[in-house]
Amino acid sequence: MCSVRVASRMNARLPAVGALILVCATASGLHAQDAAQYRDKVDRLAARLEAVRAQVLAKDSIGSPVDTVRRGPLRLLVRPERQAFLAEVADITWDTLATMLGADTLLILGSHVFVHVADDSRLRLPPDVGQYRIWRLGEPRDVAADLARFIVHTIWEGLDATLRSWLSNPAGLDSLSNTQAEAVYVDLVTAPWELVKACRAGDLEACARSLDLEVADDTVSLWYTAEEQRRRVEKGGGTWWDIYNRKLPDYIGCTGGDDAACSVYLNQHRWMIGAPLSASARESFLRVALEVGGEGALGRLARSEAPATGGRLSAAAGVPRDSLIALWRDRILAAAPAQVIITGATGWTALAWVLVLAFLALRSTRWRNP
Amino acid sequence: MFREILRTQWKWSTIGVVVGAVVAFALPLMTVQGAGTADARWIEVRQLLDDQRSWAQWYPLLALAVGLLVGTSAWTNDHRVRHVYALTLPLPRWRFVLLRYGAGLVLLVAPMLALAVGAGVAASAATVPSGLHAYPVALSIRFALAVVVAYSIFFAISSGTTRTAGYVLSVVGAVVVVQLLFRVSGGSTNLLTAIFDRMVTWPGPFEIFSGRWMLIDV
Amino acid sequence: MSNAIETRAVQRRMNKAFEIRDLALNVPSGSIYGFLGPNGSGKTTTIRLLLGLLRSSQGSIALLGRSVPADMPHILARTGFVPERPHLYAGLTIGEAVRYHSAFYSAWDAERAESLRRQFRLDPSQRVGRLSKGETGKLLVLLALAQNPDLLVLDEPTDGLDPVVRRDVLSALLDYVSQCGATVFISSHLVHELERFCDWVGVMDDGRLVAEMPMGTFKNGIKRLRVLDGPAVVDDAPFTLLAREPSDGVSAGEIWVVRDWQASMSQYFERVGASLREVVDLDLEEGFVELLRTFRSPNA
Repeated sequence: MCSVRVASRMNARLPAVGALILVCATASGLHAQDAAQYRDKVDRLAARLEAVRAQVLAKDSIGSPVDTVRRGPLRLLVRPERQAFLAEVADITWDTLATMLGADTLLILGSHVFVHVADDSRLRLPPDVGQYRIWRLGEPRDVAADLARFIVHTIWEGLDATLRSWLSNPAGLDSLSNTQAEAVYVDLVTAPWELVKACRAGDLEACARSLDLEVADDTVSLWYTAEEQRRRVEKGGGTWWDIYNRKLPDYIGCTGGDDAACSVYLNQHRWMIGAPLSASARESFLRVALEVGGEGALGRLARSEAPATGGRLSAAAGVPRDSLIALWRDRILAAAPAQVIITGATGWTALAWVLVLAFLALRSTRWRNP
Repeated sequence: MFREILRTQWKWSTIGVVVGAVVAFALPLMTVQGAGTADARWIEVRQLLDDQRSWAQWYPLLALAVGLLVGTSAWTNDHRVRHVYALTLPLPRWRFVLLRYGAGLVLLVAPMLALAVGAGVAASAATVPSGLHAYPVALSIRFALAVVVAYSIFFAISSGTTRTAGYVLSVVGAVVVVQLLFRVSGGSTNLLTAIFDRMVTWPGPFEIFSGRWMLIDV
Repeated sequence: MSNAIETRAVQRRMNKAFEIRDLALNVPSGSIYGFLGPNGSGKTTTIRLLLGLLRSSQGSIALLGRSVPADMPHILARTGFVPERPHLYAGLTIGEAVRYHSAFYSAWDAERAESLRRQFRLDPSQRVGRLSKGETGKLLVLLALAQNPDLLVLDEPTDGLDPVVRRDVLSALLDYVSQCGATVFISSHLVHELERFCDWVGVMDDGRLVAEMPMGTFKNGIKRLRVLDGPAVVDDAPFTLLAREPSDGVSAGEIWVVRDWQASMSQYFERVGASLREVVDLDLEEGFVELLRTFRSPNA
């Protein structure tokens, strides 16, 4: 327990700083504890932190009367005259995030998100209060979009290294768009690898491997056939390293026809080779998983302790892995771009317009007052 | 009679037809310059498709330009002499217009064929990555239809009187004014966008221009 | 005798200030009909009405026995037209223009076309847009004559041409008419030019047909008389008094300009106690001027 005394404006900062230090120190000592204890601790600390901050804000250390707009994990500190605007911002932001975050909000975020307006000189806040600053009051929707982006970024920062590495880049929480799905469709139908071709043909296990959803020691062999591995080795990365590497025994062995040498060589040079499907495809899979999982999906993803990414995403979605893969595959195949080939409706409509226009032209009058 | 009309129209539209045909032949060849190997990596495939997409916008523009040039040049010389010559020739007006229209269509075969040949050459010369396909026939048909639609639009407008042109311009002006009034009064309705959408989506006349103009695609 | 051109009560308002009113033309078949009138009198507008380039608001028009505008293709197939302003495509060469034009006429006479081209010294490779006014006029006449028309409608065909070209053009026209007996409807404000070869004349002024008669009647019917002691009021004269002016000061008496004059009418002056001293024939131009002056006077 820590007691907080607030006597002056300067002193007002101390308890909050102290609380933050306490959170950090305690959190770092939690590695050995089990998940339930960990969650209880986090909850208690978060509640405590908010209480401390509330105390700070309630005192006369604040230069002017301040209201707090509360939506889910959001705490917006506002001057009364801006309350309506920021309440709208909070509504929009929370509408965007609520479904995905659900009841696990605080668990995922670790604490409430305190928000204030940067240019508010009358609102003198302690330095630790206000993780997010609104720099410009424009349209509520724009401000809310920035705030949502910040929160999503915070969430990804909180995920473990395996997931972050699998995903490459932080993804948004919005549903998979048609444009994104169409790009993945192109990957799916153009990737020259046997595994992806099998996935496209309906082999769900092949899809799982292509998306790097499984744990394996020799992922290279899991992903590519011997011939494909050889092609990758021969093609190289196009750098001066390739020239150097061509002198390595494994390189010589691989290009000479030794399949095992190819595998060894590529596993030693993992930077040359990635999963058969792109990071965009993996991101699309995550989005589908969160979409299927609905409320609390992200929380389940964060809490899952499955060793393979496939298992964790399955937990987030709340459906078996293969079902999720099948859903993803259907979704991607459904996003096939419009056909280049002209449909009958388009062709006949164009011809009909030609006839209509020709008819109008034929009605060209001879009465022109020359 | 048709041959003479064709001959005059060729004389008036030579530049449009020849330049259009040359560009139509060259355009597909330009689009496949980035086509690489059969086992291209996904990033190369995407690059190729992005290139295709960026070139794709030129096909409908070319179709519009060729249609515009041939459609309007069919009437420019008649407008200069206020149609007196055409109207004192011994054939019904509709027949004269039909002959002019037909002559223009015959001339448009040149750019259409040029694109078909160019697309065929490009498709056979390029190494299309696995999973992608070349669509020279579909592209040629789309281009031909777009050219004919564009030509018909501009031919029909050009064959009208000054009064007709005035009506068309008045309608366009009225739409713009109404849109401005909407905006001034704080309305959110975007009339111009709505009309544009109707024109470029089925069954609008410009739908053929808004399709997928890819020589190489999935 | 049938009429090659016949209009009945044709009306057409062009603007607030000008309209064609009650136009009743009768151009006999085989005649050379001079269509006279000052600039802006409505000659060109009338020709546009005849050729179906303008729609009349009232009345009926028939050319070569067919109705305008319903039978325009048939009419135009037998009608040669030379417009006031060149109407050919400027980008074509003379050769191309002739070939283009010939394609529309089944009765096209290629020999006549070639013969006229030589006669007019027209270079087939020259562009129509670069021709001089005289060359353009010759080309238009060539095209009109080579289509073997039964009716020639010529709108100021010699306007602005030099005398040599004018002679060439008119002689080609007359040759054709003498060979083929076609009807010629020729408008002009150059009165003396028509006087030589027209056998009918119609006079337009301010959108109305002022007079239409055989050339002989027109030329002989209008006289200038020198009268001594003429009566103050002329009400029962057998002729039409167009104008009455004091004499020029050298001779005594008054100058009367009269229409419908015949020699026997000199008795009228004896009857009213006047004396007719001189009867002068007016040429077409003088008669035309006097006719218009009468028409425009407030008492007309």
